[in-house]
Amino acid sequence: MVTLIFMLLAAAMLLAWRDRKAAGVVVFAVAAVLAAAWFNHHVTDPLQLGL
Amino acid sequence: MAGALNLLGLLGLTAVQVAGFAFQFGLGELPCPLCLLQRVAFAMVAFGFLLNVRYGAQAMHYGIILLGALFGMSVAGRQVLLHIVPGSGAYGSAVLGMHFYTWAFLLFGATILATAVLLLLPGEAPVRRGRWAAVAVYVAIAVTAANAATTFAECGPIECPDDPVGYWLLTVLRGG
Repeated sequence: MVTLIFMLLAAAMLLAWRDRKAAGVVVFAVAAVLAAAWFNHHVTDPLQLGL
Repeated sequence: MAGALNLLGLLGLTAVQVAGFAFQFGLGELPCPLCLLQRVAFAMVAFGFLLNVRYGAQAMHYGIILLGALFGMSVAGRQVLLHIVPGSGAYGSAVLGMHFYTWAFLLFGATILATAVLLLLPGEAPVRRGRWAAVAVYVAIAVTAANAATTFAECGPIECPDDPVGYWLLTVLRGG
C-alpha cells in the first residue's frame, strides 16, 4: 500500500511539473486519503500512558 | 526571496529522504510502517513546495504543505508516544540523542513555522522554470520513486511487518 502511495506522489509531482497541475493535485488528494487511511490502519497498539 | 526559500524547502525535504536512505542502506536500519508513513509525509510536503516553485506561491500550495506537515506530525507524534515511557524501548538508532521519529516530529513542526514565515513575507514568489528548479524537482521525483521501489522491496505488495528484519523481495528471490 505504501508503495502505491509513493508511486501516486511521484506521479503527482511529475504531472504538476509538466503543466498538468489539476491532474497532479487530484492524484495527490488520492494519495493523501490513502495515507490517512493507512495510518488509521496502523494505529492499533494501545499507548502505555497512564496517570 | 520567497521563491528561493521554496526551492530551498524542496531541496531540504529531498535531503531528509536521502538521509533516510543513507541510514537504511548504510547502517541496515529498515524503516518500520510508521517510519514509511513519515517519509510519505515528507513527500507530501515536498509536493506543496514543488507547486510553489513551478506555479508561484498560492494559498492552495501552502495548504498542501501544511496538510502534509500536520499528517507527518501526527504519525511521528504517535511513534514518539509509543516509546515515551521509560522502559518502553525505541526503534532505530539515535542521532544526536534523538531518534528519527523525534527528529521528524521537530522537522514537521519547523516546516509549519517556516510556512508561517513564508506567508508573512512581502512580495510574490516568482515562477521558477530554470535549470536549478528543474534539477531540484527531478531529484525530488526520483527520490519519491526510489522510496516506492525500496518500500516494495522491503514490504511487498501489501503490508510491512511492525518490526521488519529483512527485505521481502530478497526472501522471495531466494525462494523463502
